[in-house]
Amino acid sequence: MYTQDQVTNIFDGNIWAYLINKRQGGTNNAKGNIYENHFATYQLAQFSRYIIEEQIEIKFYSQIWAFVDDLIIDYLDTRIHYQFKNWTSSLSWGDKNRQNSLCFDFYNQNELNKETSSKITHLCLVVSEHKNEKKLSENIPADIKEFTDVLYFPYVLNINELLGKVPFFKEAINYLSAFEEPEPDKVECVITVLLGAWDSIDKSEVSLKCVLEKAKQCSPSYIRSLNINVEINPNFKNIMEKIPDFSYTISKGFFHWEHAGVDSGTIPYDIETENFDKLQNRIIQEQPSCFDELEAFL
Amino acid sequence: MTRNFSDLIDETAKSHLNTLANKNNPPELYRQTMKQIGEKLGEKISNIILDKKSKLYLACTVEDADFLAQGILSYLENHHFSSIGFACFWNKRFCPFDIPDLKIAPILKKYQEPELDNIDHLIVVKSIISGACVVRTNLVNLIQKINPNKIFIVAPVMYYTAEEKLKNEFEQEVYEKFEFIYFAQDDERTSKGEVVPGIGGSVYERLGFDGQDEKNKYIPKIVKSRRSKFVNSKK
Repeated sequence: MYTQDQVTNIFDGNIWAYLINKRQGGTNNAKGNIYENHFATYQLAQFSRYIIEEQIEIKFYSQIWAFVDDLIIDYLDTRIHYQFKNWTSSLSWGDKNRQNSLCFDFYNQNELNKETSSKITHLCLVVSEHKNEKKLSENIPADIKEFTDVLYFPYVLNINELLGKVPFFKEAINYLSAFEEPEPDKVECVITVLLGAWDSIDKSEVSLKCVLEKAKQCSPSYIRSLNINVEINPNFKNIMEKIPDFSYTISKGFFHWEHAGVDSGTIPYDIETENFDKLQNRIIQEQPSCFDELEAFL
Repeated sequence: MTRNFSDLIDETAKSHLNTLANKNNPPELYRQTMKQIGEKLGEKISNIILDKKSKLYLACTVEDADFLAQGILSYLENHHFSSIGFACFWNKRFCPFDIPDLKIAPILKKYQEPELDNIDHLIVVKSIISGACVVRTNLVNLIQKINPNKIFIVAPVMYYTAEEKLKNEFEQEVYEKFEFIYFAQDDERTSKGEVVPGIGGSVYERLGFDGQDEKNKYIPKIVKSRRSKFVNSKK
């Protein structure tokens, strides 16, 4: 995203060495960094709606050569940089002339972006302590105030705990799931495969669509279809509709079924996949006429 | 490797545990022993629940349904418990992208009898409880609709940290209802996560299933039989 030439043309030569040191520290801290991964997963879920409904390209970057580099998100005409501080100790901004201070990094990131990008820069400090959120948001230095925010995001060990603590997280996961009203195990599945996909992908530059497609490689992922215009085979549909006491719905690209008020399930892959096509073909071939004959396929 | 027996153990149960732990025993004997040890666990549950008019609800996974769960259910039904609901879950346990900390066990499908009101005792059955991921997933699902007075977590063998781990996954108002019924606790696990001696390795393979995907294609006899009765009773 940013090259050595760009940095050395804008700043003095020492700054490149500063970024190298900073990234080295960041890489070390990133090992098992639960907080960063949880926040990134939250953002992936939040932005997914734009991919599915509006096909907007959204890119995520992490641990690149930059001053504020924990997470960077590009969408439309905006670039947001996030710096994470899940420290319990007291934090301060420092000033724009002192290296290794938050203010220095935020100020220079904006300077770098002004020279290298046409996007509007937004910088955000993410903290895990309310006391830091309050103190830092009330004291944002004038040099960076125009483009800087402070955000509270809780630190927890298990990402599922965030669902009840972070506004709109659960709604975003529900939206992304294959269900209108997902049960807890499906919510957990979606959030976990998304976290796993992010954790295991090359983060130097990755589109949100790529992360979602990777997450959907898990079987099951219970992530909704990314294609909103998918239909089932009419012959398959005919067979399904004749099975006594059996009903189904197609929701978010998935086939959900129910039988006699006791059996229920969801085919673990969406209906646009090759696996679903194979399943349809096997059922069309076998022509089950009752649930006992059908259930081996479900 | 240390095995600690619970106060519920007797010589018959101990002999069943030895049969399960012996990897040379074939699937047919293993299945039969699982059913027998289920009957022993059913006896212990029956000794605790004195009011035979209590409404019970028993939940298990597909691999345990025809064996361990069937044993427990048979004992309870033969000893004057007349109201026992039943649920069976087909879980897929996996770690997305092989990340060990991300263990999940979503429910692919379920058979769940709908008499869910006024359940006195929920009995969650599992052949072994180690990481408690499957039990937690299914219990979370069950308590959305069932509000029992007591929750029995039942297994022949448990890993020594499983009880604490499972409790930690729930709010106090839920885990206060837990009562763990088991015969032995083991304190060793292999690198593959199998408890030693446990129940003699992977329960899927010992029961004769060819891995997880195969066991998820299995439709237990108990499910077919109970469903048939249920559907016919509605006609």
